[in-house]
Amino acid sequence: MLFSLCVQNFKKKPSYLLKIIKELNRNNHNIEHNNELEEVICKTPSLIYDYFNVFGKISESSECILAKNTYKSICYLKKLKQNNFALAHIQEKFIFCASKKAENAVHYARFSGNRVNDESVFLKAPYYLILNYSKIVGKLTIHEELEKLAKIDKNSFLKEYLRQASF
Amino acid sequence: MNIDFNTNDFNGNPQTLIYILYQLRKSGSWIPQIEKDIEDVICTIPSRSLKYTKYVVPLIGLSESREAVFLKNPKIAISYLKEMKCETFKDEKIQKRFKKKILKRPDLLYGYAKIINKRFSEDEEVCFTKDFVYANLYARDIIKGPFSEKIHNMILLYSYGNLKSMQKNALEEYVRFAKRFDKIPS
Repeated sequence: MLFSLCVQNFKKKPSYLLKIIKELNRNNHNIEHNNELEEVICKTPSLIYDYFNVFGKISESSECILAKNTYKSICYLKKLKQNNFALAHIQEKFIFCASKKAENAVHYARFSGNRVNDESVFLKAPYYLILNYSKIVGKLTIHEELEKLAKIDKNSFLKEYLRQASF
Repeated sequence: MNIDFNTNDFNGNPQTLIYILYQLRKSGSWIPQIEKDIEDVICTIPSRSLKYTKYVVPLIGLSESREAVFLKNPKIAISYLKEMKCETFKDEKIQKRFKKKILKRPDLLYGYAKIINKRFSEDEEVCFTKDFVYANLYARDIIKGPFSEKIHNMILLYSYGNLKSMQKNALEEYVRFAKRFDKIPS
């Protein structure tokens, strides 16, 4: 039985198309990267990362969407054996998005060894993330605020952070 | 742009075809139906045919003749009927052959009775005298009472013989259960 799947019909369900292509390629169908496929599939960072895993490449516009997701971006850069996105504006977006959430900031710091631009995200973050982050970059720029907080809140993670930061 | 493929390309890789058809069904790009070409590739063994039914053609199942594949493994055949939410195979001849096979196995007969939730004839129920574990379960779950007098007496005769502990316990359990009812039906 012959199947002829129109790629455009999968606009609203790109993940199914990608899964089908992945399986077809496993069966030696050798479907290769092309712009139409990328346009239909690469809608979210997660799909873009999966697309990259299947076809081995993505365009600049997809990289730009991918940069919104710190975790997927790090996985992508690790696969490329790169520390940064090649294009400066994408790299900036990557760092900017990593600073939006404490968990992402820790991922970013662990990957690059660098600080995020804005550490104020840690003011409302769980204390264990502050400790994890400081283990990589040292004293936080919001150290004074954290000291004040430690006077009210006797949390063990916070205490451990202050102990570490004092060295 | 279209992506073309032929199901025959998956002769050596039927599991992948099942997965692709599953994705196509889920995405609404393909309406499941009986396709003999696809069955030729996938439905050559019972376990894979069951998987195909479950994920690709739920409640539609295999073509009338292809259902014969389940005769190779009556246990999977029962799972197929369960999956299809039906009591019999589409082809009467296959149904008869299936019944003939399970009538030799009390475990399968009990499994089938659970699906159809009906009692078998007395002649068919004789099969349960081979295994009291399933006789006990069948009496409780399906008959909801003791066996007919003839079979009940046959079972009692075994209590004088040497039985393995599991069988002996099941037999005693059945007898205790049967005693709850005033008289054994004829």
